[in-house]
Amino acid sequence: MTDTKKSRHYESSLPMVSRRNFVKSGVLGGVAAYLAACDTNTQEEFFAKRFTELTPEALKERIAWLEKHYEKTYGEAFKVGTEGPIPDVLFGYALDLSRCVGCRRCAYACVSENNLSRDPQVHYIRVLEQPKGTGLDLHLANPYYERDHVPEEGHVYLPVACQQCENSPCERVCPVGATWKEPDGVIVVDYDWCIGCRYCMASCPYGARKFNWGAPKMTTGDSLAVKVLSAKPKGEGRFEVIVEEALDAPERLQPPHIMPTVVKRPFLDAKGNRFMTETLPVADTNPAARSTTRYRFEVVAKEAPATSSKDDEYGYFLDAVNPDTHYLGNRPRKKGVVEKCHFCLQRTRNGEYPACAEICPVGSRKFGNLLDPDSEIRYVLANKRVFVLKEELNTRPKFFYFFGV
Amino acid sequence: MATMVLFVLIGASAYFGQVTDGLIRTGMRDQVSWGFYIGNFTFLVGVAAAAVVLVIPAYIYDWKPIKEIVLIGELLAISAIIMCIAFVMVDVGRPERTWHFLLPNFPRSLLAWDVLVLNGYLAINALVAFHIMYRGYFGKPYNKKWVLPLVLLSVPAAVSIHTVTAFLYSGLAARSYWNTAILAPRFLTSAFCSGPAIILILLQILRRYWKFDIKDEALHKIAELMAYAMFINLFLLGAEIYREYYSDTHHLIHHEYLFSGLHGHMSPVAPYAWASVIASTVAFLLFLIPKTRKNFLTLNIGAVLIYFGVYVEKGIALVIPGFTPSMLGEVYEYAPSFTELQVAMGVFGVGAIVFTALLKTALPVLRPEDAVGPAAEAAAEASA
Repeated sequence: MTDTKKSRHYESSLPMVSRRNFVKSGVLGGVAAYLAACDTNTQEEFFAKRFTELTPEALKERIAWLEKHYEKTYGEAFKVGTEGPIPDVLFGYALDLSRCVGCRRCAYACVSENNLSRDPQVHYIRVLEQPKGTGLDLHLANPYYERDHVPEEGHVYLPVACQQCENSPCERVCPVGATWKEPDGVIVVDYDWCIGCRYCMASCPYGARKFNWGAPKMTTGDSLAVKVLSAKPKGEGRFEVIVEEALDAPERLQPPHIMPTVVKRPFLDAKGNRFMTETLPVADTNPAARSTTRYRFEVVAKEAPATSSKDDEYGYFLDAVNPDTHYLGNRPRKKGVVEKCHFCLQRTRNGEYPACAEICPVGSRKFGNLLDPDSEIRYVLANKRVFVLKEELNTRPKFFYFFGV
Repeated sequence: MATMVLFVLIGASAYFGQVTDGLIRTGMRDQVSWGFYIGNFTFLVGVAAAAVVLVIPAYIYDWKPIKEIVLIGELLAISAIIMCIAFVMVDVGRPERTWHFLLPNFPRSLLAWDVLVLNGYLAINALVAFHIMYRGYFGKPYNKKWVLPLVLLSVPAAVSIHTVTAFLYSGLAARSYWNTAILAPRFLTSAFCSGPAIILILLQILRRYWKFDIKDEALHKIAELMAYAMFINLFLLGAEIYREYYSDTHHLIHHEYLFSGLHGHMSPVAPYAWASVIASTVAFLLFLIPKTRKNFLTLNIGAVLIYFGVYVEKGIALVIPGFTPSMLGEVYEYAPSFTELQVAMGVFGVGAIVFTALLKTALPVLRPEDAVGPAAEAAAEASA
């Protein structure tokens, strides 16, 4: 009995309110400590609003903050655009399977244009090599083919990225509304709102959504340095430049004979000058010396790139981030969020083609406005044998495949 | 208890590593984007839902022998739901943003619904359990007027948590393996096996070590209910297998991955899948035959087999084959990483600690001689 009384006394003497306060302050303190330990971007994001709910003033503030933050992080001036959809425009894409050679230039152009992670590798475009005569049985497809030359005899190539479905399962399932369809038909992700639950990835029939499993690394930092062999002026601040890649670099590129360079791909020389390529890189492999690979392309620059005078002098780092970004497009992402192809919003909303369409060496990629009856894409839809992937799922893609020849 | 604390510490340190490096520490990748965490989550939703198996006869039919153990079922449900929420939390890429659930994509996202029903179910069970315990502490019977409606509400709530979780999978047209109408019934029937399996063993432990008064009759009744549930569960599995193999479409490939393997080599999940089916079948027979059901050795073997069978069915055989091969036909052979195993261990540790703490608090209510405080005084006065 005495024991019981003692324990009762003990119980009632426990100040319940202060215990609750203790728990409360513990939880709040934990959150505060977590936020304090995080980098400033996470703190800013924690209180960031959904893109669709930002007032124009708040958006302006957010953009200013982001641009400053990116400049601090990546060491160069960033532009984070917020261009809205163009009125009376519905973007559509068509891909000519009879032309595609499976060179994967599109996939790598996308990587540099859209600031995709190089390590771990994230690709929006997956090119499937399919044995001819197997229809579209994707279980026989190989996305990891490595060929010295493409196309490989007896195979067709099927590049797959986001199909920008009109009836999109991914948008439907998102528990927090972090992904939606823009009026120009593009499905976008608010990288500051996504919680990383990956339900959208489970729902996507095309494997188009990518998760940042680790912290995205947009520059590999080392290597991929090239030696400038010559730089000839071509008028109007353009130079034709021939470079030779470092000895071990080709192995790093998949497949090895392809230069992962994109139109308007930015890169820096040893002095920190920014150069922009403006035409397709042309592979010019030196067959006599398989260990080196030469490339010829045009750059836009104020002054001629310095050519190397010594054998071991490497001038260019090809791994630069693309500072020309869009809030819902290619601005840098963080680990733990989902991302996907957005038809290069930063380009297409400013009247340019997506990087993949622009770089395609065989012209198999057609992009345009589905609402414009005179557009090339409408011509394709009206005159070619067109199909969409997994039609039976009623996703109604705005990405079409066709056989042009 | 010390072991559980150690589990939690190991889990916490592994989780810290995962938060630092990202989910790249897990075995999941874009091809198999959910894995061990979500499998465990799905299994535990079933355990939580299973409390109703005991609640229904106890309250609706006022079936006396089971009534006392309902509280234990509810405490188990509370612990299971807490583990469910923890498994979702460790699976998301940006846990600090989970407050975004407060602005959900209603009514379109099933995951938003799931958050709602899980928390609702947790709230109902917590209210009922804490009310009974609170009143018990003062030696008073619980207030039937508002406990009964809540208990009745907890029945559809339990069905809803597992139905919504099943719909979360079966609503995805892209994943033919999950896109089947009998997924929700299968979830419910397997839950009615796994949850009671834990309770069966738990009650015997309580009875032996804490001299808790539980009649054999109650245990055998639970086992009988489990036999029926397991029969329906196996029947539904058979119906699914028949449809896939007889119609032999492209969709069969996920079942082939589950039970055999693709491209000529055995998949890592196949041995588990077979073991699960065999364990469930043997357990069904053990629980069906009155003689083995009433023998405590075979009863306990059956409970362990059922637990194993359903754990594999929900934790491994549901999630992984749904993702393999991937949407573009790729076979990525997922296996949980060491980090995932450690974090899961931590979550189970948290669940065990929560359950033990709740049970120790509830014991005096369940067993009058352990009563402390006003209840003990009242009992002492009554005996004097």
